[in-house]
Amino acid sequence: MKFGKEFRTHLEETLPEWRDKFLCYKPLKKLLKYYPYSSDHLDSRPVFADTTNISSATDDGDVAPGVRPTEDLQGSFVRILNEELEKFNDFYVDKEEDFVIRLQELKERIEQVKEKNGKNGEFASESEFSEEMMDIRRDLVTIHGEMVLLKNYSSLNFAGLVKILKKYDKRTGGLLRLPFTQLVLHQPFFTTEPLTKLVRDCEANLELLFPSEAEVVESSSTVQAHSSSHQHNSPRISAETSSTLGNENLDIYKSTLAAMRAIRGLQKASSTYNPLSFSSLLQNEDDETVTAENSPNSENKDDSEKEDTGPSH
Amino acid sequence: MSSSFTTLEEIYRHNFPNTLWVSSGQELMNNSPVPCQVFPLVSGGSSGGNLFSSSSGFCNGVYVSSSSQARPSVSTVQRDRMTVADVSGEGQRQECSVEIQSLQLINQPQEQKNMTWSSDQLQGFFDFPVPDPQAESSRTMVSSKEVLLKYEWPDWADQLISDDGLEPNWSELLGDPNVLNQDSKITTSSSDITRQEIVFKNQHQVDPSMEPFDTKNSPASSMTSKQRMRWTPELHEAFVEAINQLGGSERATPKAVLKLMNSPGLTIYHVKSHLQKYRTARYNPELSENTEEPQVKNLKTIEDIKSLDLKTSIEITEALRLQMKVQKQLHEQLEIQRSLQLQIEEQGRYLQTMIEKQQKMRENKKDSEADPSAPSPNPSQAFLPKATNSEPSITQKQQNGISTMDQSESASGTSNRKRVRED
Repeated sequence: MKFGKEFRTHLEETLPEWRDKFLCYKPLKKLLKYYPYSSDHLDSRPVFADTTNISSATDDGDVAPGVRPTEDLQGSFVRILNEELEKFNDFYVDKEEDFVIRLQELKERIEQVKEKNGKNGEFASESEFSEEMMDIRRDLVTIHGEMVLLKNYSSLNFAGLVKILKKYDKRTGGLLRLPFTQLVLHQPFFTTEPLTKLVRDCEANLELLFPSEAEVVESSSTVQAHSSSHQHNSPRISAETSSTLGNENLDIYKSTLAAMRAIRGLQKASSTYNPLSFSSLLQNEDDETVTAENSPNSENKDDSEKEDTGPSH
Repeated sequence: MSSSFTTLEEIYRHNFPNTLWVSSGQELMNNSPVPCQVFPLVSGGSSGGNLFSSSSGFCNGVYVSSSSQARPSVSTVQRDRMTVADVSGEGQRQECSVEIQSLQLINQPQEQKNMTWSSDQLQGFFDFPVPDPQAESSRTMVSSKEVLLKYEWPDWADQLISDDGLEPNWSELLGDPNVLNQDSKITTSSSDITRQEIVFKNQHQVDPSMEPFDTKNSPASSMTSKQRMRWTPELHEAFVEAINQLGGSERATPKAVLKLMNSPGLTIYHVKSHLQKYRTARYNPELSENTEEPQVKNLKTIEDIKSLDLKTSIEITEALRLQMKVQKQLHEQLEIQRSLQLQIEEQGRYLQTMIEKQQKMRENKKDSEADPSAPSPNPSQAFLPKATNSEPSITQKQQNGISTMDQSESASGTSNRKRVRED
């Protein structure tokens, strides 16, 4: 339930044009919810060799445990998931291609500007040069933001798929999760290495052009503006940010924050305990060797001593 | 149908001895809509010109709905080239099941998606050593654990995302080194995962019996216009070079570009769509550049140039920098999350293989002892000490004569995953 909520919240806050490209988690959940009523089988024991039912092991008390997933449900479920995969892949690969092109363009622009600058006189004034650079910088940040959001898209959808598959197996006693997850792992939308490379490339370029710590402000008026922006609360900063960033960047900025919130949400403990969940891995709540350093709050964690904490996860 | 399916299955089993059959043949026949098909990565072997060989990792995931459907939807999924190796922590196992109907349906001019190409990356693909999965997985778990333990969500990010009214801690914002430290760790983990990927040296040669499959694929795919292709930066560079040789994006034609690029497997449809995108991308920046300048000039003549510019640019810079920080942070988060996700899956599978091995051992033991009467005792003591009472269900299955690895693996996997702790 938590995931569903996080997911939905994120959907609302993310880039508008991406919204319908995400997994249709809620509808799938609903589909599963109505599952028992669509089934006709009442076998509680796997009679046939080919039955994939291990129902007696499921801990879902309310559903008739021995019910084999009907062909209809499994078929339609798989079909829907397939379509979702197609959707993800299409969107992802499309975006990836866009990024490749745009990044290449940006790099070319940088080269051009550098050349212009080197020629000593192409530029009317320094400000024009800095204007150009500012544009390039803005574009780099924008594309970086979008790329990271695409990664988030991939990750969130994967998490959603895994969850919904788990629910499916739990609900119907089927064995869909493992094979399907294996399939998903190799889908283009989840193989994000090329994208990561692009992101790194982008970051490298930004570092090169605009070293992060080098923005030292000399004049008094600007110092005042600078320090005031430091001291004031982030609403002030967001106001400044919004006015200076422009709509596009602002959207990305907001979506980025939303994505981070979603990830935080995923990392929190969920209602069902799972030693292999994010929360367990991050918090080690039930670990025998919980120490004082092993604080539940991830942001307070500052220890690095603990290497092998008992049954490691 | 069943006979041909069985034959096909045998063929696959024969040629990919390491593969793991996820769903039993029987089941596939009885419940037709069954998922899954991750073919082991067939190497990009020798047979020229067809899809199967030219893509390094060709994975046919075919989901076929039941034949009663009016229009069965076939989606073929292909694995990406090297990225598969990077991604999947499969250890030594691969799962592979074939749906016979899928082969027949592939003949139909369905949309073939996901063709991934990168011949240059093909080389690196086969260089991965075959690892020891156990050692690797335990190591990767430890290393990712370290990552997690060292992970720190800086206050500023926390405040940013939780409550807009709080002030971000600028000192931490500017001087947070931890974020960068994790990167190396993460890449270590992911490279370990990479090595765990099965390396297809054994399955290097193109399987002749797979040819019928291939030839069915190629005409189908060449007929369809929409093929999913992943443009890598290298490929794009080649594209741009070809474009420049031809005199610019406006003058270049797809056919000429295709010819110049001379990349195997690249079709004109790919080039067309890519060219279109390229043109759009070039056109837009030019537009924006042209429109911005006059505005800038107006501004300059009206106001005091230097101070205003400086102030504005400072603000912009700050805003951009903040945005960049946030994005970077998110990216790191995502890297961590992703490695976690992969680890979890890997661990789950590892557990299954362990359990299954134990079961096999017990089976063999039972057989050798010629002890048919005894219902298998609770095997939980035999293997993982913390195994739960889901084991009896597995042993019952064994008694029923189900010895397909996939069954027990999946059965144990789904139930054990929730409770069993890894040792």
